[in-house]
Amino acid sequence: MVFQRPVLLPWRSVIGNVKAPAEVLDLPGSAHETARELIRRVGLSGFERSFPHQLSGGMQQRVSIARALLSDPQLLLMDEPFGALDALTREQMNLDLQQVWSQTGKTVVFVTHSIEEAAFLSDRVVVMAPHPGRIAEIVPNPLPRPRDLEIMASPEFAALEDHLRRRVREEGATIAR
Amino acid sequence: MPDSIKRAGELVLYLAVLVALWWAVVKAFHVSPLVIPSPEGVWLAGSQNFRLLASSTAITLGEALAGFGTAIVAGIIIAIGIVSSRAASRFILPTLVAVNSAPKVVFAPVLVIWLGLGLWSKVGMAFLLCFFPIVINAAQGMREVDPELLDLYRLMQAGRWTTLRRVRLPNSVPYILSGLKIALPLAIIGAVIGEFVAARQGIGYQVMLAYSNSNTELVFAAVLTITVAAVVVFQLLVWAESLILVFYPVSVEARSTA
Repeated sequence: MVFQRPVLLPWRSVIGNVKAPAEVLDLPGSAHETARELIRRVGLSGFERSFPHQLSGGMQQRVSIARALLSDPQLLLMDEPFGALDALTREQMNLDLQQVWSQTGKTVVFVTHSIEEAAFLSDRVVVMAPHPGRIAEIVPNPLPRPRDLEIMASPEFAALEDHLRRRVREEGATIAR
Repeated sequence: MPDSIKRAGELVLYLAVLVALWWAVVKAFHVSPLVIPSPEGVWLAGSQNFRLLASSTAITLGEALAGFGTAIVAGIIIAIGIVSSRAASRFILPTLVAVNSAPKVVFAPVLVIWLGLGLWSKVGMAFLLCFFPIVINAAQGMREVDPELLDLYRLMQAGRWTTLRRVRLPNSVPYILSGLKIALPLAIIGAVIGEFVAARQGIGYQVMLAYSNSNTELVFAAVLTITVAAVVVFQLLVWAESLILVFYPVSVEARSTA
């Protein structure tokens, strides 16, 4: 589970936060080694001993992603995880999330209000409609992987974005992958 | 370092100016030494009775710190009890907050009846004054946790004890520290009041004794001694707190997401 905010323990270092689930859940293997590996994978090597307040918002959210991966879950739930970040950081986080995803092979359910983000990250986009909350349409994403930022300039990307935007506007809705 | 030396120099200068003003007022207006004694009179009374004042201050500080220490232990344990139960947190905490506004010093004679004329009635008074700010702050710190952190631990199906140990207790540390800063001066007040009521030693007793002998110089010397001692002890606590908070960053969640 990754929240909209990082939701870290402010009194614990990066590695302490990533390891925290091991104190609650019964996890096999060395939590310390797994945590180190995950910190490296989310691009925070060298910051193991830093405290959350010493990190930027994007780095804090990386810590929370590493923490979510510690228990090796089959499913990663992400609730607008990059919504509070600036546009450039957000793009970088999207690229890095794609990489983490391809390395770990986790199924990710990713809630977002950004159509661009949905089109960039997804295999399938589930357009949601409100009152009552329901699925309006499931749109397959045909874009090839791995994706880089250039893909956003392609006509296929524009067509997908255009379709999603129209569906969202029709339904007055949120989108999710 | 030079900056702190400069600040210490300014402090000494400031105190010197205050003493000079005190001296000038007493001389200029021919104030009776029974009302406001002159600085040199107080200095003389203090230096002649230095051993007595020092040992009395040590006794009073000992009583205060014993009450302070037991209040820390009891306050934290009771705060854990309060946050562990919904009923306790709904009823006991508001009751404590309400009782806290009562003038607890009226219990001083009762404590003498219960705990005797010796040290324990003073320790009891110090405890009584310290206990409330510590328990109230500790309970507040254990309750005012980022709700999403609690959600996270609930998602991991953490038990009540795990959540307390991993989230609530660490979260309460800065709250407890600020409670301690409120409580420490109260502990010294409690010990002195206990000595005012009935005692055979301690700085409060010496003040009452000097007062009944109309020895205002010695009263002032005693007041200054306990004041200086209290300031020193309080600064030690402030220093310890800042040291703890260096290794224990807290309340950063709010700063970082802003």
